[in-house]
Amino acid sequence: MGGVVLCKVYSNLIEKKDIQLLPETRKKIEIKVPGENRMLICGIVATILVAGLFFGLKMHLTSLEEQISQINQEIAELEIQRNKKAEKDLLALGERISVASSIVNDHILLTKAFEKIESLLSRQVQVLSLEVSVGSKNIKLNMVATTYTAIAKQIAAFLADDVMEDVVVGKISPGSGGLLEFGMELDLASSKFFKKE
Amino acid sequence: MTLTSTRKNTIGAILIAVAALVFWVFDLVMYKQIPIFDSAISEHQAVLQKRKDAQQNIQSLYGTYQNRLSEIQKFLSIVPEGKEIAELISALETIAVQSGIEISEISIAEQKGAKTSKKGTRNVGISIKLLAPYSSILTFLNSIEQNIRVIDIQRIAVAPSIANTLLGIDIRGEAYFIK
Repeated sequence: MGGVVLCKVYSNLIEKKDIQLLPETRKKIEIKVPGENRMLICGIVATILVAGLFFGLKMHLTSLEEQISQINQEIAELEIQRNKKAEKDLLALGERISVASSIVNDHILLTKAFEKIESLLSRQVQVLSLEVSVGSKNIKLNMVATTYTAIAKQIAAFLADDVMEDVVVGKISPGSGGLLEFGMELDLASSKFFKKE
Repeated sequence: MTLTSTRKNTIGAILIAVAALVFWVFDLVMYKQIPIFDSAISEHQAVLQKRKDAQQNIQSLYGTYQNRLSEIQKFLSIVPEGKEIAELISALETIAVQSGIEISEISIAEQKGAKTSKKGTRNVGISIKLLAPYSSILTFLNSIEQNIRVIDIQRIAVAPSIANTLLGIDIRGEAYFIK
C-alpha cells in the first residue's frame, strides 16, 4: 500500500521536472595538488640528462676514434714514404763500422814487443835471434852475454817488468869469441800487451 | 586526455628507471672508455713521433753518408768486401819499398776451412820472408801496423842470415775481409 503511494509521488515529481537524476552535461572537477607532477618532471629531466650525456659521450668517443684512425693513417703514409734503400745502406754501413771498430780495437801492435825488449835489454847482453808469438804470448830469445852476472841481471830486469809473467832460461854455454850463449823464453802476462791501450 | 596523479608518478618512475639503466649500461661504460682511448691516442702519437724522428734522422744520416761516401769507403777498406789479394800484395810491396826492404818470398791465401769469425769476418793468411837490417824491420812493422787495411802479425822470427849480413825475417800474419 505504502509502496504504491511512493511510486505515485515519484511519477508526479518526474512529470513536473522538479528532480533531475542524471546531469545532461558532465564536468570534471580538477583539483591541483602541489607537487603531483614532481616525479614526472624528475623522470623527464633525468631522461633528457642521460640522453644528452649519452650523445655527448658518443660524439666524444667518435672524435677520439677519428683521431686514432687519423694517426694510423699518418703512420701508414710514413711507412709508404720510407726510403728503404737508404735504410738498407745505413744498416749495412752500421754493421761494417761495427766490424771495423772491433778489428781496430783488437789490432796487434807487434812493435810494442820490440820496444819492450829494447827498453829492458842490458848493454852487456846482445840478441842473436828472436821469435815473437802473439798466440802463445811468448818471446823466445837467443842471446850472448859477457858474464854470468850480466845474464843474471838480464833475467832480473825481465822479471821486474809487469808485462812478464815468467822467464825461462835455457842452457848457458861458452860460445865463440869468449861470450856466453844462452836461450831465454819470456812468457807474457796477457796478450792485451800487443794491443793498443 | 589528462593523466592522473598516479599515472604521472608511474611514468616518472619508469623514466627515472630507464634513465638510470641507460646511464649504467651505456653512459658509464662509454665514460670508462675515454681514458683507454686517451692512452691509445698518446701511444699512437708517440709511435708516430718516433717514426717521424727516425725518418728524419735516416734522411739526415743518409745525406751525410752520400756526402762523405769517399771517406767512408776509405774507412771501410779496414775490412774490405772480398779478399782483395792483389791490393794486399801491392800494399805490402809499397811498404817494403818505403822501408828499404826487399821481399824474398810472399804468400797470401784464404785460410781454407776457416769459419767466419764472431766478428763476421774471414781471414787471409799472410806469410812474408824478408832480408833487412834491424832498423828497417821496425819501420816495416810500423808501416804494416798503420796500414789502412788491418794486418795483424801473429808471429815474427828474426835470425841472422847465413848468406849475408842482413837479418832473415819470417813474418806470419792475417788480414780480414767480409764475404
